[in-house]
Order: sequence, then structure tokens, then C-alpha cells
Amino acid sequence: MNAPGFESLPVVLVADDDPMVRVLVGETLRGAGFTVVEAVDGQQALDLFARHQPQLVVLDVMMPVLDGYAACAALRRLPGGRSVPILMLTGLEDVDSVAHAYEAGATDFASKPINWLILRQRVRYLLRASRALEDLHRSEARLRAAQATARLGNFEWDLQTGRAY
Amino acid sequence: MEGDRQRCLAAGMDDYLSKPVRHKALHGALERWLLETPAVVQQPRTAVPAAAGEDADPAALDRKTVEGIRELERHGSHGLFDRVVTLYLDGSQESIRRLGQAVAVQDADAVRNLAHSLKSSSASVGALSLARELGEIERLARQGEFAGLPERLLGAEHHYTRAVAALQTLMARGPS
Repeated sequence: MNAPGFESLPVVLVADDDPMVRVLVGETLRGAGFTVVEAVDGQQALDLFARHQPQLVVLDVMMPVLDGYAACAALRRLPGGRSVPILMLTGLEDVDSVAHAYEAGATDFASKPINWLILRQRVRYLLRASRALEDLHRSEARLRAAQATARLGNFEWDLQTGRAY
Repeated sequence: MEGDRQRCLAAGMDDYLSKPVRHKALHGALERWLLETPAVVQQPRTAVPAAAGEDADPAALDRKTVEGIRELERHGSHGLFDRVVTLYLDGSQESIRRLGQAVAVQDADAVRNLAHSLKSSSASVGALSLARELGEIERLARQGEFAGLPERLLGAEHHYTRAVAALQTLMARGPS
């Protein structure tokens, strides 16, 4: 997809059964510098996730075959799916579906009708937050490895409670 | 100390409280940071030019939604509005026809699903009164109340016709 030597663009997976919404979300994301992979239902979203390992996923709630909630919960169990930011698209200020989306493991939601330029900002922010989290995990792992190698450890002593961590 | 505050803010911190911590100041700071909605949500929508949608039926389409798509178009997605409206017109014609059939044979599941997806795409092109009507149909179907459906369907078809006409007017006029 990208010429060798160039840093590849972040990939976003967009799953919605409505081709019109796919075009709108796709344009919103391409404008933010993403490569967009499109799925027409929840099952296809799972297949494409495994193949492309996207950095971010946008899921519509109502989809045939496998709906957005089920797809979201299943994504969380896939390799690489535990920490990927998942943004769900819900109906008109539908409080139940927003609660349901979070229960299924969504990171954030946007309710229709969507303000596209704000969605663009939100997606950028979600990606930045997830990268920061990844960096944190990586440096924690590096610290653990370094301490193990040096046979070092660290602890915190709370003088008030007398407890050590 | 004002000097400390300046140094903290310059170092990238969001706020500063001096010790000893006063309950009221801490509470105020927490409230300020926890209750404030994210800045992106507060961004005002771009003002809609007075000319946009003037000869398109104003009650049939929400200007802000239409303008939102136009805005995305102006931000690099050339021809987006026409593509989106064409996709909507192609898909919705079939959906409204199948919705009529499903109401006629009282297939509650089909009515609910068709009404829901048509509601969602109609809202995305700004046909909000149509979307509301379809939401009502979806609700009636979910509750198994078929008695009110034919009348609601007539209402939805009426809103649909108006929305289609308004979208075609906007498409014919081209980008503002």
C-alpha cells in the first residue's frame, strides 16, 4: 500500500452496513491522514481486523450478521484487540445504546447525526491517547526487564499507613 | 507563589495549587477540571451562510447537517455531497418500498430493522423530521402496535418525498 521507506499511514477499520455512512466516515478519516479499511458487517470487521491490525476501529451499532456490540466484545478478545481504541456510532441520542456500547468495551461513541469535523478531531485524540498508553506499557516492560537483569527492585513506603508497595 | 505558578504552567502543567492545600481551592480546581466538557464538544458549528438552502424546502432538511457535509467537502473531499446524496437516494427508495411491504404484511422485525436503518441514513443527510417519523414507526413495531403503523407510514412517505425534493434542489445548485 505504501512505498518502501515511507512511514505507513495509520490504518482505521470502519464497519457500517450503510454505504453512505461508510463514505462519510471514510472521507472524515482520510482527511485526518488515515488509511481506511471498510467492512459491511460485524463479522467482516473481525476478519479484516485480524488481517490489517488497524490502530483504531469505528463500529456502527446496528449491523447485519453480527451487530456492533457483539463485534466490539469479540474484537476485545482477538490478539491485539484488547487495547485498540474502538469508537461506536449510535443512534439519535440513544442513552441505552451508549451504555450498551461501553459495556461491550467501546472506548468512546459518537451519536448520529454526526458532526464530521469534530469526529475527525476526536479520532485524532483517541489515537494519540492510545499511543501514549502503548508507550507507557512499553516503558514499564522495559523497566521490569532492566530491574530483573540488574537484580534490582523498588518499593514505596507510605509513612502514614506504614504499608509498603 | 506566583513565580512557582508560572514555572509550573510553563513546564506544561494544567493548573497549580500552593501548599498548604486549602480545601476550597482544591475543590474549586477539581470541579474546574472534572466538570468541564472537552474543548472539542464546545466548538461552535460553523455559521450557515444565509443563502444555503434558501430555495430548498427548509422544513424538510436540517441546514446544520447539510452544512456539515459541505464543510467536509470544502476540507478536501471534492464532490462529497453529490456522492452522499446519490447513495442516499439509491438506497432509501428501495428501503421505503420494502418498509411499505413489511407494514402491509405486519412483519414486525422487518419493519423495525428497515425503519431503523432508514432513520439512521436519513438523519445523516439532515432529513430529521423524516428520521423522527421513522423512529416512531420503529418504536410502534417494537411494541407490536400495528394499528397506528399505516398512518405513520403515510406520514413518513410524505416527509420522504419532501426530503428527496430538497436534496435534489441542493444537488442541482452545487457547492455554495
